Amino acid sequence: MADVTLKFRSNLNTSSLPHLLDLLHQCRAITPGTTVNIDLSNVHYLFPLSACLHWKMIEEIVVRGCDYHIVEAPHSDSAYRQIRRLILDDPKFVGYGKGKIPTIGIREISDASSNTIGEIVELIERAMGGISTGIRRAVSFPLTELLLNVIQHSETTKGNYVCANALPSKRLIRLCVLDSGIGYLNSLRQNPLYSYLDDDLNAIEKSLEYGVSRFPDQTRGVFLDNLVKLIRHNGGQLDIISGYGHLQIVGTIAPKRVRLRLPYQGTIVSLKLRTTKGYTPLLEEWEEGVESWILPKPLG
Amino acid sequence: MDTSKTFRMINRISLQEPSREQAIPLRVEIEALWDDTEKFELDFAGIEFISVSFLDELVAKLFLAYDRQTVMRKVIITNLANEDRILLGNIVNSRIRQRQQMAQPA
Repeated sequence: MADVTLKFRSNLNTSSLPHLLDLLHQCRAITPGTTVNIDLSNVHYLFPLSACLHWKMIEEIVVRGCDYHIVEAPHSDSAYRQIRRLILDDPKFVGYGKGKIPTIGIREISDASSNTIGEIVELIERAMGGISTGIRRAVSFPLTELLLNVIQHSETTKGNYVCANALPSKRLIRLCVLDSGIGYLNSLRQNPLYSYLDDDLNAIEKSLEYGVSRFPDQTRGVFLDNLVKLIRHNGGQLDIISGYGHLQIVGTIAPKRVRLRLPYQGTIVSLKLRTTKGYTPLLEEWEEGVESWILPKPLG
Repeated sequence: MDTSKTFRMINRISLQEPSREQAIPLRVEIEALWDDTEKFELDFAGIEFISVSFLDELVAKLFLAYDRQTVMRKVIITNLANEDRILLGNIVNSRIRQRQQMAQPA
């Protein structure tokens, strides 16, 4: 059986998504028994999003009964070490310190407990050398909700991953939550109000609106609306990928809609948060009486 | 009527999954006691990470069911971090606006 080589580009940030999806689809087309060479020799930096997709590829290769070999970088730089550590089956790996890219190893999502959230937040905090309470909440608020969404709504218990990294020098935290579930379009179409949707990108965009969810009344769907407010205030970045759709929000810029050539079956949510800003001033305007009720003591 | 009731979240919810579903029975209980209780204290001591969905289901939805003055008079939130209070304020705002829209004639 001939070998197959998957050659990764050097830059694996969000803009490389089509390249990564192309590799993932190649994995799904591999004949059982093939040996796969995963060529990481050009890779200099692995983001949480690319790390999650990389892990997904390995999952696809293994499930087809194929062997794989990692083609390593010729030099022992930090990115190389990062990749080597990530592919070890160590769900709690943390690599941080001088000369290393601080990455919290990929964890399979099995729950959304306070312990799990706390561990991830604590690891980010240690990697950053401390973070403010506001940033702790800016991380824990989406993380809690994203993990709950995977557990409760993705309709799959396998192939769901979370990965994060923290860059103290750039004052950045990145998070990625990837699931192998039904995706935004199939989820929203369960609601008769949105059964007309037939496009992944429109489904993602619709789900960002307040009160929109797969449930027929307007009693849910408050998370993404608030997440977008956080990203806009924080000057961060939110990428939501589902099916053929990729919606990107960067700070206060209008959302960028990208239609993908190859789909991702499931949902990926990637976040970039700046630690220079928290989420405190999320409110645009208080309704009468709410501020003094909710904040009996003024903010310090 | 001179009654008050305290709901200590640490004793009432599982930290394994601080989700919307866990808040539903608590809110149902509050609504059942609503007319006969003067004050409800919702005590979040010991809860470090709470989801926005939980806060929406337990607290903000009371603003859909009752007028805001009544809710603010009856409900006291304790031991919730300021950052979470602001997040809660955000969803309370949204629920108040939703109630106003629902009250408008079609």
